[in-house]
This record gives sequence, C-alpha cells and structure tokens, in this order.
Amino acid sequence: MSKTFHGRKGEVHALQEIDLKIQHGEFVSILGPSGCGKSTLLMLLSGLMKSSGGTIHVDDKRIDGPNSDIGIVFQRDVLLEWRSALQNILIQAEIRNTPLDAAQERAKQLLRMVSLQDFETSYPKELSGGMRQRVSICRALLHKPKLLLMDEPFGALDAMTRDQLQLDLLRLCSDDDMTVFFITHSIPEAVFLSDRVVVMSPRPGRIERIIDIDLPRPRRLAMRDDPKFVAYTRELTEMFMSLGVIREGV
Amino acid sequence: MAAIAEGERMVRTGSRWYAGLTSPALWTLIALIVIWEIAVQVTHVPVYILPAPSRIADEFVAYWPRLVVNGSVTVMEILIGFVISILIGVPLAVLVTYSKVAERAIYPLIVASQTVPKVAIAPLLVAWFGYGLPPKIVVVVLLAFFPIVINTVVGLKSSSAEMLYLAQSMGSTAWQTFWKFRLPQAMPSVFAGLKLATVLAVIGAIVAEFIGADTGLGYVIVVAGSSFDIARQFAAIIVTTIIGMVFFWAVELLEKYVVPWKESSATDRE
Repeated sequence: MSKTFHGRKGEVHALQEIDLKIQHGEFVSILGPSGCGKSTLLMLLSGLMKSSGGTIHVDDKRIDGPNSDIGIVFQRDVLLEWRSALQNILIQAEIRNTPLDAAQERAKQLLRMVSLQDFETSYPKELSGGMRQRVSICRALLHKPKLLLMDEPFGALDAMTRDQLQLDLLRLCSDDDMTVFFITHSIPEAVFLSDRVVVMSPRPGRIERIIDIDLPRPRRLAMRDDPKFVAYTRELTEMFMSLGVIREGV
Repeated sequence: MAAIAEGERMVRTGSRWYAGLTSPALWTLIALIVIWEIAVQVTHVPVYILPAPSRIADEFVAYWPRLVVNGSVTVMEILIGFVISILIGVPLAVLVTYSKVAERAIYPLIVASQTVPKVAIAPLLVAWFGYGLPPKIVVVVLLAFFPIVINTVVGLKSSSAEMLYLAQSMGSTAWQTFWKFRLPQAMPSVFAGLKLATVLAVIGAIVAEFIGADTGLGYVIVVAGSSFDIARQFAAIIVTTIIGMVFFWAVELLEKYVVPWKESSATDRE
C-alpha cells in the first residue's frame, strides 16, 4: 500500500510541485522554517483544504473532501473546556456514532499509556500544558486512525515536557500500524521521531530533500548523543544554512 | 492529594461566605445609613425633601402589602420580557452567525437600533398597545434582547478555526458541530449577555411604567413623587433594587450549574 501525494497550490504559491509518497506505517516528519507551507500540506492531506492543482491519494482513495479517516493534533490542544479529560477523548466516538462502551475502555487505556489515568475526571483548566496535549493526542488516536496528522504538536511546550511527550508519542505509535505525518521546525525532534525527514525550503514551499533516518527502534533519549544522530542533525542544520534559513555570524 | 485540594476548596468557599457577611462594603453601607439618619435628625430636613432611613423603614413596613402587589406586576413584566428576549435573541444570533446574508442584512440594523432611545418610544407603544402588560413587555424586550444577541454572536464566533477543523476531521455534521462544539463554547458569553439583560430588563419595566401604567413599582414611584411622598418612593426603589439583585443572582446561580467549567467573568466587567 502506498500513499501518493501530488499537490500544487496556485496564486500565493504556498506549495509548489510537491510530489511525495509515504509508506504505510511510516513516521514522516516535515521539517522546514515558518511559512514554508508545512501546515498547508497537512490541511491538504486532511482534506480540510482543497489543492489548487494535483491530487492526493490515501490508500488509493482520492481525497477531495474532509477526510474523516484520520486523527489530527494541532499545536494548540483544542480541548473542549466543558468536558473532562475522558469526555474530551470520547467526543471522537460520539461524533462518529461508535459504541461508547468500547470507546470508553480504549480511552482509559490510552490515558494509562500517557500516565494520565488519575486525571480522567479532571477538566482541561486543571491540567498543565503537557497534560492537555497528551489528552489531545489520545483523542486523535481513539478511533485507531490509519493516518495521524500532527501540526507542530509540541511547539508550545517546554523542553523537558517536550522530551516526555516525544517518548509518549513513540510508545503510542509503536502498537498500531499507523502512518504519522509530523510537522515540526525542530531538527533534533524530527530526527529523533522519524523514519524519514522531508526538508522543505521557504516560500514557495518545495521539497528540498528527503533523508532516511536509520536509527534503531525503540528510540531512547540517549540516542541523541549517538554519533549517527549527531551526524543527521548536523547534515540537516547545514542544509538549512545553505538554504539561507539559518545564518551564522552577522 | 485530591482530598486535600477538595478540603482547601471548601475552606476557601466557606471563608468567602463568611467574608460576604462581614464584607467591608456592607459596613460602608451601614455607616452611610447611620450618617444619613444622624444628619437628617440634626438638620431637621423636611420629610418631603429627604426622610430619615427610619422613616423609610416605617413606610416600607406600613405599605408592604401594596408593594408586594405592585412588585409582582413588575416582576411579571420583567420575567415575560426576559424570556421573550432569549427566545428572540438566541435564534437571531444563530442566524447571524451561520448566514452571511443575515449577518449583512440584519446585524447592522440590530446594532443601529440601539441608538434609538427606548424611553422615547415608550409613549408610542402606549398608543399602540394601551396601558396593560404588552407595552411594558415590549420595552423590556427592546432593552434586554440586545446584549443577548450580541454576546451570543460573539460566543458562537469564538470557536477557533482549529476546533472547527477538528470537528470536521471527525466527520461532524453541522448539527453536531453546533450542539457539541459551538454552543457549549458560546455558553460563558451567552451568560454574560443574560446577566447584562437582567439589569436592562428591570430598567425597561420601570421606565415603561413611568410612561403609562396604573399598577407596578414604576407607577408607585411616579404617583408617590407627585404627592411628595419621598419615603414611599424610597420604599418602592428598595423593592426594585431587591428584585434586580435577586434576578441577577438567580441567573448567576444558573450559570454556575450550566457552565461549571468557567469562572464567572461578566459580573465585574459591567
């Protein structure tokens, strides 16, 4: 099975000549500076936005309307303030009209996997930013989507919480046969999580290069000091320097 | 941990209740009344200019049965007008939020209509609807529905783009998106509008009774005023104030049940 993605967005040329195939079960990161059209790419993939040329296929199915076969996580957790953590996850089942008993079991299991089992009945305002985002990830996974779309999900979190959530995410993903499309502008984060890193250049967004990350799974935090890991981050950093995205000196 | 937090919360609300009884504002009020009483006793101001609080209290007790009768009429006008305001205001807000045409065709008129002085229309309404309940209710609605519409529109529009995308990604129908996402999200703002509307509804009822009525607290105030019965006027004003406060508290109480997840915010904004 393959996912083919061809898109071309006219006028503003947010994205140009994007041609990307994502393998089933793959963890792909889209890495690029702000304004390179990363989020646009995600919106196109979710079907929430229409491409102005080109087509998108998920599992050989052409996407031309909202694709409800996905899970989606934004930078902001977008939790519903009037629902407890558990109810926030269950909204996914309520909207999809799936049996609530089974959904509740799965929701509780997901909360356990991110160590939030004691916060089922807590309201979002009682949770920290990292906890809220974990609930939001659980919500995206409740219906076992084949494709998980994440738009800079850890961008608003502090460094330590970020490490924790990266590990949580990898644990959640390892069980399911799920494809993850992960947008970030953190080079180490992309390398740490991904099977492949897609480097995008700034406006108009184009795919600059695709790098395979050949690090064993499960990934451990200590791997970030591994020479191989360091070599990947250096390679990517140099790539952005040559693109003029990162500049050294004045 | 949770038990401790719960205990703390109870202690806190407990102490707040205690603080309510002994709040500095209450002492200030009592002090003002005492000063008023002493000043009137010392300076011998005529009773038809400014009666002492004790004199007002006497009148309050003596006239109480009539205050209840007239007060219940005013309460009726306020409540009916308030309910009609919600029944008109909320659907109108939904229409304006969901329909671009309605937003451009109706919304500006609703906003512009607020520059029309309602008191100036009141005599017209008396001419059209007579002296009974209807013109009072119309004035109450004219004043009260506006904050309900505006705040409901603001609330319904406060759903973030991400939230609506999220709903769509779940395959949410327009109906589900409204009931499960947009309306709950709007509720704190709706209640802010309702609380403002309670204040305006009381004003509307009293003003309408000023213009043309043969019953109600506004009528009592006008009649007592024309015979220089200042104490009776004060008695009626006190009842009006109590009605307004109880009404406001009732809506605030309802808010705590409907929107327990949000700290009340509109109270101090007015």
